[in-house]
Amino acid sequence: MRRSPLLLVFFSIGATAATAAPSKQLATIETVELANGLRVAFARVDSAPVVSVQLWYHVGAKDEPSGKKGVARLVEHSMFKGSEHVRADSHAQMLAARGGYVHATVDEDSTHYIDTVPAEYMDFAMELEADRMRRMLVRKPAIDNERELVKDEMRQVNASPFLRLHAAVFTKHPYASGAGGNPADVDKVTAEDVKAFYDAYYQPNDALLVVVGKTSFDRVKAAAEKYFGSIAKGAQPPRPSADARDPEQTAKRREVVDPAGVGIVMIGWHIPAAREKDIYALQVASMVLGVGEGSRIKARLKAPDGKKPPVALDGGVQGVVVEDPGVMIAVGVFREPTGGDAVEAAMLDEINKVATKGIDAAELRRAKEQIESGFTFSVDRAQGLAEAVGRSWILTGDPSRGVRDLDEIDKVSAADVQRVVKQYLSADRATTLVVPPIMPTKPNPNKPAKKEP
Amino acid sequence: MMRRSYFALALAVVAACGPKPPPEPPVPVLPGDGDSNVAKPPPLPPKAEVDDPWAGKTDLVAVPPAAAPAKLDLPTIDHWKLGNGLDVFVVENKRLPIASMQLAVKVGRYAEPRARLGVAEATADMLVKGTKKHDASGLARAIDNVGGTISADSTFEATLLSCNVLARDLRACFDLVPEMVTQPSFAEDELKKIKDRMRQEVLQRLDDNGALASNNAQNLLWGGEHVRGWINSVASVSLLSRDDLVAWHKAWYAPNNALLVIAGDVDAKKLKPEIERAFGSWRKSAVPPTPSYREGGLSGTRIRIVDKPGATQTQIRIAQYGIRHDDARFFDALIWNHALAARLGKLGRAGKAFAATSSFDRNLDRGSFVASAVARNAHALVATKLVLDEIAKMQKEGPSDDELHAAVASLGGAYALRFQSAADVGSAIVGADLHGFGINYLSTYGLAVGKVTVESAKTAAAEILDPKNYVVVMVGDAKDLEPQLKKEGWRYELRSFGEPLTPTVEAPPPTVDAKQAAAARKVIDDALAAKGGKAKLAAVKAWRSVASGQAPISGTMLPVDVEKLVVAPDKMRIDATINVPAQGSRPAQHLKVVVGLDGSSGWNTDPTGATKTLDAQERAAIAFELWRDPETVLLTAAAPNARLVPRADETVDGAACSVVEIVSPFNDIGVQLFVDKKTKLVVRMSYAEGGQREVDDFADWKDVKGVKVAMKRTTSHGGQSTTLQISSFEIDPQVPAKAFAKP
Repeated sequence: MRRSPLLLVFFSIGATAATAAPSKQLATIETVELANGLRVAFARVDSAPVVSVQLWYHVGAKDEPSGKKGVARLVEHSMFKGSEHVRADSHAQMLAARGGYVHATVDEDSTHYIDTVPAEYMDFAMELEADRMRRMLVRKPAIDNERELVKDEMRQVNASPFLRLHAAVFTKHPYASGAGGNPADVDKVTAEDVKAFYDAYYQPNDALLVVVGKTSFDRVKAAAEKYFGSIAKGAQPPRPSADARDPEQTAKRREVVDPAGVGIVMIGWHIPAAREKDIYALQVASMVLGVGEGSRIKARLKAPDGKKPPVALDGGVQGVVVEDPGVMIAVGVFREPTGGDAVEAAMLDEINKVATKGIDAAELRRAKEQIESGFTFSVDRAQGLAEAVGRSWILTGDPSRGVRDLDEIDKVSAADVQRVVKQYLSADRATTLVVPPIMPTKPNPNKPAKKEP
Repeated sequence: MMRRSYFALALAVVAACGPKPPPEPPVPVLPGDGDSNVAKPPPLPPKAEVDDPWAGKTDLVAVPPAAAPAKLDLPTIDHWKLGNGLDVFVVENKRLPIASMQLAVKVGRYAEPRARLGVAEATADMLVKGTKKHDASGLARAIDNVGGTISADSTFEATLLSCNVLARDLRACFDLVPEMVTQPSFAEDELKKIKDRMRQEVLQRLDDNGALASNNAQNLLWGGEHVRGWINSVASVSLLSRDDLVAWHKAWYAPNNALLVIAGDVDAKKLKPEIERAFGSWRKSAVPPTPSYREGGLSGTRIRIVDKPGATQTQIRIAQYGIRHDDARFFDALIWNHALAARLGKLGRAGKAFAATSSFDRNLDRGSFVASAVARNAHALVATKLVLDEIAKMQKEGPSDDELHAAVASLGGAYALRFQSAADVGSAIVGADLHGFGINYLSTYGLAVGKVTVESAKTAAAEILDPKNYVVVMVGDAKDLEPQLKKEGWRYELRSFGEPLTPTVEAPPPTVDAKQAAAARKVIDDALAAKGGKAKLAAVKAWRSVASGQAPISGTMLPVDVEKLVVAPDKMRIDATINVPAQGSRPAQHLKVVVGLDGSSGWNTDPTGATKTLDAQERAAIAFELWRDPETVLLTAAAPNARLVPRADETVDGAACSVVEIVSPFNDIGVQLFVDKKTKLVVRMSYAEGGQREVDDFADWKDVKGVKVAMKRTTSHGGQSTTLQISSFEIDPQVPAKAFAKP
C-alpha cells in the first residue's frame, strides 16, 4: 500500500500463530520533543558507519491553496536554492563532498528532505537542515529558474492514469488532484506565495526530525537542541483539507475516457484514513485480491493455467493509504477494444466472492508473509527505516507506530478480511474509470469524456 | 537496415505508403548493454543567476574537516568451497529477520560471440521463466507464497541470480535457486517474450540520445573486432534461438565457475549441510577459456556525428582506453577522475550552457575512460573543445592538492554508504571475488584511496590520459553540427542514428591460414578470368541493363520492368515500373519508382512523382548493392587488400561450387560467391543480415563485348523470389548528362 507505514509493504506477509506470537517490532524508536515543538525520533542501526538525517514537514499537495497547485513543489525546490548561511546548491554539494547524498519529495501529505551521510557528519547535516527550516531565502530569479523543472516533474506525475481515478473518486477532497500539482497554476505562483506557504508550514512545530544510523540518542538530542533549539515556535498551520471531507458515496459511478495505447479498467473505493484500525485488514485484503501471481484478481484475469482464455493482460490491487481517507484501486489492463466490461465484471466478481465466501487460511498466511517480507526489506537500510518512521508520523501522528504494524497485521483474521471487503469494496459504492485501448483502424476520435450514471 | 536489395529498396518506396506499426512501448535499458558503465551528464543547467545575496558574508556554514580514511568494519564472513568447486560466502547480520541468497555465475556479455549477441542476457532472463519442475507462473507463485522475490540479471562480467526472503523462509531459496540454475527449461514461448522485450529495448535506445552516444562511442573506440564495440540490434536479437541458450548454459553454468553468497539473519555452521544438500550435486565441468579480443588501437582522433534530425541538444562522448581494475594505478585514477569530473561539472555551472562529467570502467579488462557532455546544438563544438581542454590539462598537470583531498573525502565517505544491508555486503563480496580481490580489499578500500598522493595521481593521469588519441561522438542534428566541424576543419564520419552498429553474423568467421587464403584467391582469380579477365573488366566504365520479370509486391506477384544504369565507381540509377493489372472497375496502373545514387548523395522518386533525398542509411544500402554488383564484385575480390574467407564447397542446381566469402566494408557483412567448378562462373551470390539470407542466382550467360553476363537473375529473400530476364545489356553506353542528378 503506497505510503502506508506498511506500504512499501504492498509485498508482505505474516504468520498465522495467533497465540502469544513474539512481537515483530523491527526497531526501537526513541523520541523527544524540543521546547519549540520540533519532534525528534531516533533509531540505532549500526550495520555501517552511516546516518540518515531526515526532516519531515507535515505539508503536502493537499495543503496547497486552490489555484496555487504546485506551490509545495516550488518551496521544495527553493529549499535547495540557498538559505541565510548556505549558498544556492551548496547543501547538496557540501554533503556530496563528504560522501553523502540528498533527496527530497513532495507527496499528498508530506514534504521530506533526506540527507544520508557518513556517521561523523550527522551534525553537519542537521546544521544545514536547521538553516533552511526558517531562513530559506525566497529569491524570485531562483524561483523563476525552477518553474520549468517543477512543471516537468508535474507532467511526469500527472501522466499516471491513477490520477484520473482520483479525480473521479474524490469529489471534495484535494486528493482529487493527487500529488502532482497543476502546471498552469505554477506560472501564477509568485515569490510572495512561496514565502507565505513556507512561513505557514516550515515551522519546528510542524516537523519531525528523524535520525537513523550508527550514533546515539544522546548525541542526536544534543545536536538537535544545538541547531534547532533556538528556532522559535510557529503558529498552528492551516489545514484546508480538514473541511473538505468527501461525503459517503452511496451509488456507483462510471466514466469512460479517451482511449490510450492499452486499455485500463480502474475501480476505486473510499477506504478509511491510515490511522484507522480497519486499514490493517484492508491491507491484507489487497494482497489476497491483487498482489502476486496467486492472488485472486491476477489469477482470474491472466488465467495462467490455460484452462480458460485470459480476460486481461494483467491486473492487481493497490491501496492508497494516506492521512485522510484514501482509496483502494483494482486495476485490469487489456488490449481488446471490447474487453473493458469483461475485465470489470471479472474483478468485481472476485471481490464479491471474498465478501460472500471469505478467504482460506493459506491465502491469509501468504498475504501476511508478503506484507512482513516487503516491509522488513524496506527498512533494511538506515534511510529506509528513517522514511518508515517519518511516514508513520505523517500518517498517524505516531513515529513509532509503523514499526509495530506487523504485530497488528498478525492479528488480522480471515473474518476481518471478509468483513472489510464487504464493508468497503462493494460494487454499489465503486467508481469505475475505463480507458479503452486505441483501435488500430479507428484512431482516437478525440471525443470528450462520457459520463455514465 | 542494410538488408534490402536495390530492387527491394525501390519497392519499399511503394510499401512505405501503407500503415506503419504502432511505436513500441518504452522499456528500460539493461546493464551490460554498452551504456551502463558510462556516467550520464546531468541535465542542462538553467541560466546562471546574477544576484548573489551571500557576497561578502563571513558566517556561511562551512564543510567540516574530512575524517581521516578508516578501515571499514565488516560483519563476520565465512568462506569455504564445496567439492564441486562452488565458492561459498556467508555473511551474518542479525538485525532484521531477513536473508538474501546471491548466486553469481562468472560469465556475461564479455564472453558473447559476435554471432550471438545478447545470449548472456537472454539466458539470465530465462532462468526465472521456468524449470523442468515449475513453469514461469509456478516459480512466481512459489516465491510469492513466502512473500519473497527472485530475480536474474546479467552484466558485462557476471550473471546474478538473487533470492530475498524472510530468514525463516530461506528454505524456499534453497529449493528454487539450484533448480533454476541447473534445470532451466528455456521454454520457447517465454523466450519469444524475452526476445520481444529485448528488441523493444533496442528500439527504445534509438529514442535515447544519451544511450546512442554511449553505444557509438564504444563502437567507435573498440571497433568491430572487440566485444566492447558490439552493440545489439533487432537483427542480432532475432538470431537468438533456444539452442543458443542451451549451449551457453551448458558451457558456462558450472559450480566451479560460480560463487554463492548468503547474507542476513543466518548461522553459517547451521547452513553448511543445507548448502551441501542444495548445491553439492551440481556437477563440476570444464569451462571454456575466457575469450580475449584484439584492440584496434587508437591513432589520432576519430570523430563520428550521429545524425538525429530534430534534436535540439547534442550528446557528446569523448572516449579512450581505460585501465584494468587490478591496475596498480586504479586508486590514483579514481582521484584524478573525481577531480576532472568536478572541473567539468563546474564548467557547466559557470553558465556555459552545457553539462559534463567523466568516468571509467571498473572491469577485469581495461575498459574505457569516457567524458560525457550534453550541450545545445549551437554550443556542441565549444563544449567538446572545453572538455578536451580539461582532459589535456588534467593529463599535463594532474589534480591539485585541494582536489586530491576533496576526492579522498568524497570517495572514502561514500564508500561506507554501500555497505548498509547484509545484501549490500553480499554484492560487494561478489564484485571483489569476480575481480580476484580478497575480502580485505573491501575493508581497506578507504585506506587505499587515502594513500594516493598528488604526485602518484599526476603520474597516473599523465600515463593514462591521452590528449592526442581518442574518439569523439556527437549525437544531434547533423545540419547543426556539420557546419561547426567543417569550419573548425575537423574530419568526421556521418551515420544515421538508426543504422545498426554491429553487423549480424550467423557464425564466427573461421581462422584463415595462408594455405586456405591462397586457395580462396585462386578460386577468385579463376572466376575473374572466366568472367572476361581483369584487364577487360577494369576497362569497363559503365553498363546498362533492361529487364522484365515478376516480383512479389504486397504479397502478390506482379509484372515489373527494371532499367539499371551504372557508372563506375559510385553512380547508379534504377528505374522500376510495377505493372498493376486492371481489376474490376479499376484500370491497370503503372507505378514508376526511381532511385539514384551520385557519389555521396542519393534520392528517390515515388509513384506520385515526389522526390526525396535519401538518408545515410538508405544511401548505405544502395552503396552496398553497388559494391556487390555482379559485374564488378570479382574485381573487388581480386584486389590485394580484399578480405577473403574460404567456405565449404556447396552444390547449386546440381553443379559443384567452390565458395569464397568476401568481407565487405559495410558493417563487415560477408558476401559469399559460389563459383561453378566447371565453368568457373559465379552462379550464386549470397549474404545474410538480420537473421535473413538473400540469395541471387545467375543463369543464361551471354557474351557482351568479351564479358560474360548472366541474363537471368533470381533474387530470393524471406521465402519470396524476384525473377528478372534481361533483354538488353550494354557496356559503356551513352550516359545522359543528368542521369544521376536529383530531378
